[in-house]
Amino acid sequence: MSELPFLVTIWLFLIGLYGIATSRNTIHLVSCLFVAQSSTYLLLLSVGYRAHGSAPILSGIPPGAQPVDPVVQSLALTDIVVGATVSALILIFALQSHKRSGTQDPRRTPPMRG
Amino acid sequence: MRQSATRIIFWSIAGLFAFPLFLALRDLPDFGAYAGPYGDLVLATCTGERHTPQGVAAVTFDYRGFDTLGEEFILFAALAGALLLTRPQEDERQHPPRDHALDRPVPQGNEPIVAAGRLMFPFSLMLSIYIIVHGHLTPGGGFQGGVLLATAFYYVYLSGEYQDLHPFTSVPLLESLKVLGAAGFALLAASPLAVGLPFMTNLLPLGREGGLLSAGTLPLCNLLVGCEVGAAFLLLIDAFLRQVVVIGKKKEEDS
Amino acid sequence: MEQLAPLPVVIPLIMAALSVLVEKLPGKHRLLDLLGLGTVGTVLAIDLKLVGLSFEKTLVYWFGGWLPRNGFPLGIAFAIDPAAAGLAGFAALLTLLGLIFSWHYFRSIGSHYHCLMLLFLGSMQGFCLTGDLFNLFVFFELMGVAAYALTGYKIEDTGPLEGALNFAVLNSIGAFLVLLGLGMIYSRTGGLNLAWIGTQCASQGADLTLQAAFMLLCIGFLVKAAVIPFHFWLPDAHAVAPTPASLLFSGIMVELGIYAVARCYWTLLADQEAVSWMGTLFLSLGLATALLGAGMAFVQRHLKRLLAYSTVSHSGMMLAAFALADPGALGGFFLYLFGHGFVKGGLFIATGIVLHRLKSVDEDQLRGRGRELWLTGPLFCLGGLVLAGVPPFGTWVGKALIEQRAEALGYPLVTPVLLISSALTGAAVLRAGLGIFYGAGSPNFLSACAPATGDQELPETAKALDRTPFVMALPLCLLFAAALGTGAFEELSRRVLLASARFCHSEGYRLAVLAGRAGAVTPLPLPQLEWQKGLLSGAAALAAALLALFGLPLPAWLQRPYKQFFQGVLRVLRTLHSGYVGDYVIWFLLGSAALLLATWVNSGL
Repeated sequence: MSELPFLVTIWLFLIGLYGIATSRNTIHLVSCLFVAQSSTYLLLLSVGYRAHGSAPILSGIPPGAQPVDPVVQSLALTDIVVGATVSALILIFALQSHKRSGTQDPRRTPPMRG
Repeated sequence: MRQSATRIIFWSIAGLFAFPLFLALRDLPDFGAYAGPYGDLVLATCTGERHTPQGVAAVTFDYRGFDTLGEEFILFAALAGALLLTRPQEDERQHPPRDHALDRPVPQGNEPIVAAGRLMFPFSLMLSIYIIVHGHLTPGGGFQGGVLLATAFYYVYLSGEYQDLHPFTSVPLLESLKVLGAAGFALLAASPLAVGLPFMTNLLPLGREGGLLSAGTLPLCNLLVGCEVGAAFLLLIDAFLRQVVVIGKKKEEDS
Repeated sequence: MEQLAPLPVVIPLIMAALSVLVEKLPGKHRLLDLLGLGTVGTVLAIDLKLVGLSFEKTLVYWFGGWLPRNGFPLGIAFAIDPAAAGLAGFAALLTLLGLIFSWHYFRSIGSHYHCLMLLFLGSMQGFCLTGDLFNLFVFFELMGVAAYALTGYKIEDTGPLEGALNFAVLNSIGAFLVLLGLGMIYSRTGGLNLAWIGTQCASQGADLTLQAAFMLLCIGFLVKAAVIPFHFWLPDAHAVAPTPASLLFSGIMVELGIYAVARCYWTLLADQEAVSWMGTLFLSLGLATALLGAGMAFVQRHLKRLLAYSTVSHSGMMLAAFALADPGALGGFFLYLFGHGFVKGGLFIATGIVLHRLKSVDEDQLRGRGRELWLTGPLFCLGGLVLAGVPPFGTWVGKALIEQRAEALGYPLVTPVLLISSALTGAAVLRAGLGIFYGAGSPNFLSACAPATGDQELPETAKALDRTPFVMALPLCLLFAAALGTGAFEELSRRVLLASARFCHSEGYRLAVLAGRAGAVTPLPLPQLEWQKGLLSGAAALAAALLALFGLPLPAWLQRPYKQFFQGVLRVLRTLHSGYVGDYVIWFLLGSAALLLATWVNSGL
């Protein structure tokens, strides 16, 4: 079933978006954003995977072993750091907005319409 | 009513999104059949030319080190933003830390939990330092170790009180560490310019492969990044905690 | 001299980190201002030098000294052609003017404002100069994070926080799609360098996977460019950000989204027959965005929101210019970008001065109160005419060039749509300007009922003065002078046409990056541009503004259905722009689904 990682990628992205679309709590919304982001980790890591591959660390691996791609792992690391920092920032917005408006519900306090 | 309507609309659109995307993804090389060439070329050169057996670290700090510089400044920007947005406002003042739930007595610290926290703190601290300094040899590195470093202090808060964490989060010290990490990394990357080499060139002696001081600038990069990440995550938790524990509305205080 | 290449990115980043230390020193505010201005000035000087160098030969800079091995790029490269360097220089210039505006008077807190502005500058530089797909993503995110924080700057109010939240969520989701597309491209081509991917695409042929991957990249960047239906976050964010940040957002950040799409298009897929259908798609998206944005701008009374919607409209026009996929039209795109960026920046600064002096940005509340602003008033109204594209300003040259190429390529619809939307955005600004600074007319029935009023806007300056400070008037005048200069100097237009010819030469770009060789191109000669259409557009803007101020002289029995029709349309539009991030996400998904389905349908042809 070589399509499974791709199906899960799409599923994670959509379920994260669904959570954001229906969210009634900003902190829940940030978590959903993180779920959607995990689809990108999965796709990056799965396109660099080599069946029965070893870790891309060359000290002490058996000769003839095929290491997986280190580049996508590095990209995923960057991606994770970006995700963590953006979530921290959005949580600050949520916190301050809660202090001002007294609610975490993104659907109860519309900013400016139109 | 509105909820279920949203659900139906969302999932019908989601189907339209998923269908062509799946067809496109299906034509990628099969799962587990990575064909290169980028990763293979990196692994073919990283030990010979850089004495770095850890492929991911070689990519992160050497081959694609410039991305990592950008990434570190994303963290820096998020932190600057977080500190900017959690500044005390005019109608707020700081009060001594207190429990938020005013209608219940503050529970005493639970001894097993305090003990667990005390046990985990030095252990996490040691592990994080180990992960940072071995970043160019074994899985891990400055980012992973830095996060773990901050986690060690989170144990202090989780098993104790805000006051217990407070001595560790002296803002001037952490700010300096953060600046040292970010500016130090950028200056280290820029130092080859002084001798006419490209930005980010790995200048230091490569050393014996597998040694703690090998792979050129990589250990130093890991150290600086670990410094910044650890300080940044501590500053972040402190900013959040101060918002809920220390800072309150002035009016509320007066009444 | 290639050693200069990394400096525009690295200098602001290092200075941003060090600015945190300056905060500890006495007299920090002046020091921070000086540090900021000095850094941006240095970056601008380096960029100008790079522009000169890149006209001779595309500069390729390999970080870490990782030159290509057997033709495969192992490291990250900056590939600096004249368009990249010019855009970077433009970003630095706008940042400089923004910092001059905020000199001394701006209520800046600690060092964070300067730090974020410098990081924002550094990210824009990297975004323009890079030749690597993942590096592009990294700077996209850095630009985003700095921009979200700047948007939420005024935490005393909920508006900025909600706006920043919508901005951050929508842009992050766009960034995820960029990464998904990047992952697919990496899987198929095995590299991340744009030139390398381009050669691989050329040899593999653009099938469904590569086209869908490219489309995912485009969606991510079009979120930043605020194209229908990804535009909802923009008015929420641009209207609440502090003035210097709004200047940068509207003047350059939004346009960089289209720049990234154009860069990816010409480096990756432009020489493939199979993707020619995309031109029509992007053209219709752009024209629809132009019309909707102009319509929404016309019905606002909150000045910054009005300007924000006009940015949506002009961004759509620029997307349409890109969609013509033609070096001449792309030259028009760059000229329009410069002209629009200058004048929109000027309008935002004028609004900042109004807020500083009169403590409000609400058109109806300010009516007739701005009479004593003898400099800001006329320039604001002039800004309306410039947005409409009157000669000889930069917007006119760009638009005339785009229209001429569109007609030559057989797209007759472009000219009237551009005329209507630019005249309408100009009319909105003119109406507000004539009302505020000269007390003309009365509130019209369209904008008077706008739910977003601007009278709650918090002041940005520590103390209100009864005169306009010199440091605020200076960037205002300079921006309008620059908008005039962009159009008036024919040499600039010729240079831009050469730069865009180089930009569109995919083969030359790949040769320069991977083999270090220069390819020769012949630019389009600067055609004779028609000034009549520009005047017509300006006259239309003036007529529409007067119509809005004084009402249509209709017989009484026609007045009611006439008003009811427009109010009905307006009600629908306002309901769509609900301000809820959840609704925006559904719109986002709808747009992405439509674009991906279009890819699937067309890739089989």
